Amino acid sequence: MPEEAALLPGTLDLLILKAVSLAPEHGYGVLLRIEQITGGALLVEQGALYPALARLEHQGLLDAEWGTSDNNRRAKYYRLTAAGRRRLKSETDRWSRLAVAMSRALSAQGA
Amino acid sequence: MSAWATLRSLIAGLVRRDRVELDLADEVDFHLDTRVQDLIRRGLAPAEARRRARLEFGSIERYKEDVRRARGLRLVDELRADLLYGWRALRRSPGFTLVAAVSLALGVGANTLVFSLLDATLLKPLALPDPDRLVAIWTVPADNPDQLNTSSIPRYFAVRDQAQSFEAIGAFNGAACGVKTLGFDRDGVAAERILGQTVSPTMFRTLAVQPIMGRTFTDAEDQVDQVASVVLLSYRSWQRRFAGDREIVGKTVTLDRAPTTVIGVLPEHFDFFGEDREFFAPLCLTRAQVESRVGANTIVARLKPGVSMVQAQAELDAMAERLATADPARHQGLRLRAESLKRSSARLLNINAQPSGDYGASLMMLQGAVVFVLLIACANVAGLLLARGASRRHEIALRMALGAGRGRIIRQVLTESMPLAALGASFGVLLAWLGLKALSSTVPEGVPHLDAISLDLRVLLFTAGLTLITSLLFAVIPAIHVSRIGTSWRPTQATTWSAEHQRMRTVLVSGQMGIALVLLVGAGLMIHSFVRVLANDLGAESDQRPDVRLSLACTRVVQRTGDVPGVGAVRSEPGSGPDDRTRLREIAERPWCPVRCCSELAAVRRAGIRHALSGRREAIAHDGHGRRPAKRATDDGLLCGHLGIFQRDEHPTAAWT
Repeated sequence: MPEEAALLPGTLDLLILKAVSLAPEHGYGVLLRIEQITGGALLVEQGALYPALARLEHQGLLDAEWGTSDNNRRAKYYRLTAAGRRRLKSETDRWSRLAVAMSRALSAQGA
Repeated sequence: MSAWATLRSLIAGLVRRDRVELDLADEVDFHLDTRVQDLIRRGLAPAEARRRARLEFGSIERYKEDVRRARGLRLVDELRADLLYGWRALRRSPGFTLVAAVSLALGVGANTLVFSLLDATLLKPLALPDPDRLVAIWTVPADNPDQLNTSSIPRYFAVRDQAQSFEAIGAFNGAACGVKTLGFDRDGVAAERILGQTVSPTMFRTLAVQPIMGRTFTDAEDQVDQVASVVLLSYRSWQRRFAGDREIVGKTVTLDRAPTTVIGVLPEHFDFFGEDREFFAPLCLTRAQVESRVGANTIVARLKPGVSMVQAQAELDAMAERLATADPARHQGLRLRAESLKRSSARLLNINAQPSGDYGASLMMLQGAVVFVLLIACANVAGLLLARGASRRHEIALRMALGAGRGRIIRQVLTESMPLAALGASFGVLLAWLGLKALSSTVPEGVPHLDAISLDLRVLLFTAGLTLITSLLFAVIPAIHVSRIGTSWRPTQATTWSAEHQRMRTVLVSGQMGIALVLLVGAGLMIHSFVRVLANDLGAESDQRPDVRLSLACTRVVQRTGDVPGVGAVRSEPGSGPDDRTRLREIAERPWCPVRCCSELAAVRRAGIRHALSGRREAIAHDGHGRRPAKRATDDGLLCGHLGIFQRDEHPTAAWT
């Protein structure tokens, strides 16, 4: 998968929080959503999603519930908790500041 | 992030461990199946779609393991695996298991047993309101403040009337009037001897115990030589003998052939004087008692709030001085000493006896000694484990080669030891239980609050904690040792390992020897002090020769006691006991008749009569409840007793219970 960018550490958690914040999703749905919102530019090894989901659930940032999927199967749906919402906001702010700083720094050097 | 959510998630994972696994498998399956469907929809052949889905997912098992770790379940899984492994190892080598478990069981059992005694006598607070403010006040010789004695009535009166440090002061007597006959034989109901307790009217106020119905005694009911015929019933007696009659207060029962009014019933859990006390009566003071220098009265007082033990003792010291000056005949050479009631009740081998040696301190020493026994057991098991470690070199080296660190190996060996410790502890508790049973059947009156001793939750918690510490203790050296093997171990290195092994064993063996030596010395001291406690050191003073009064029925015994070394003049004092004619008739009518002279007996015995009587073969004893012979009637461990005159024999003989 040469055309896809490797994920920076810590980005996966943020992407999951973002994906789930739009609507409750099951694991596979989270994957598709990330693919969609990143325009397919970032792709994780699919299995890596689950330890991250478990970690976020364990930390109380996500809530999980079993429901029925579109293809009529039992699926585990993840939903953002209040703590998860706060974390998403603070992480987004941090990421934006970092991105602005990084791109400014890099463009200054590149010109 | 909330710690609470994390804890909840961990607990949910632990409690429903299999659920977690099923859910995880379901989730992964759902992902793969849905991905396959998507890929087929995009035009892939089913077989190829499945292959691609698996490829994209990565290593399923690795990610599952990561999920478990993320949920904090990994450590738990490892612990469980180690415990199971340890348990399997135990089953594989039953010989080792048996020796080690028995070794530990002895240590844990002894500790559990002694702790249960310690807990019942010293640690558990008295089951009375505000027990910290309760003190016992003893009479002590001026030159030996450690020899605690009961007090005379004049002394009790003085303390009661003058001491300012206390909110309430009461006294109870060593069973004078404490044994009564209930009912008449000729009413068609067999008369029965029942045990009671005589207390001052202030006693219940001092202990802060309220009757559940009726009232306690008034001062007017405890006048010298004219005691009112009133009793309070214990809850048990009320339930058992009177079927919990709600109208009992005010009714009349027959005690010692005299109509006696029931004035109240005490609460169910009031057992300060022992569970066998069926009734409580006033002190039944006689003129002689009120004038005597000696007496078997134990003074109990409740400190005023904010008054310390030291302040109270200072006041008692001053008072003792004052009394000795004012009335030297009765108080000279005597002091007063206050001690916490809890501590005192641990001293009393029997609540009605003279205080004996310091039972509590002995118990604490015994506890120390059995801790040493446990340490030795731990050292033994450590030695065994170390020896067994030799056969585990392959396994440990393999584990380390597969990536286990030293810490992980140490943890494994420590965890593995727990099933062994648990096994030992289970046997130990069993041993302690058997020990307690044996103890309560052989020492019916030897130990205070024996009925309160049990392997309750507190004791079992103590044992559980002890077991955990034990397992760590005996496994830590083998664990560290085994973890040194490392991956570099080759079968050829067996010799060097063995040398080190030898060194370790030497350390353990010499440690064991040292501990054993300390233990031996400790146990010797221990036994010595226990013998002193039980050796009947009732503190008879040569200048306090007891004035023994026995009723006429006892006269023939008294005549014999005249021959006993240590007993001075024996004189008959008509009228000091119950109605003599009644007594004689009782003797004539019944196969045996109890005589109420318990406190006198204690005095007689102190003078040496006991040895004379207990040597006689015809001495028959009863256990205070019926006519069953008591097991150890003539043994030394018995304290206060009831003298029975047996008409069966040609010569009346005395018996002790």
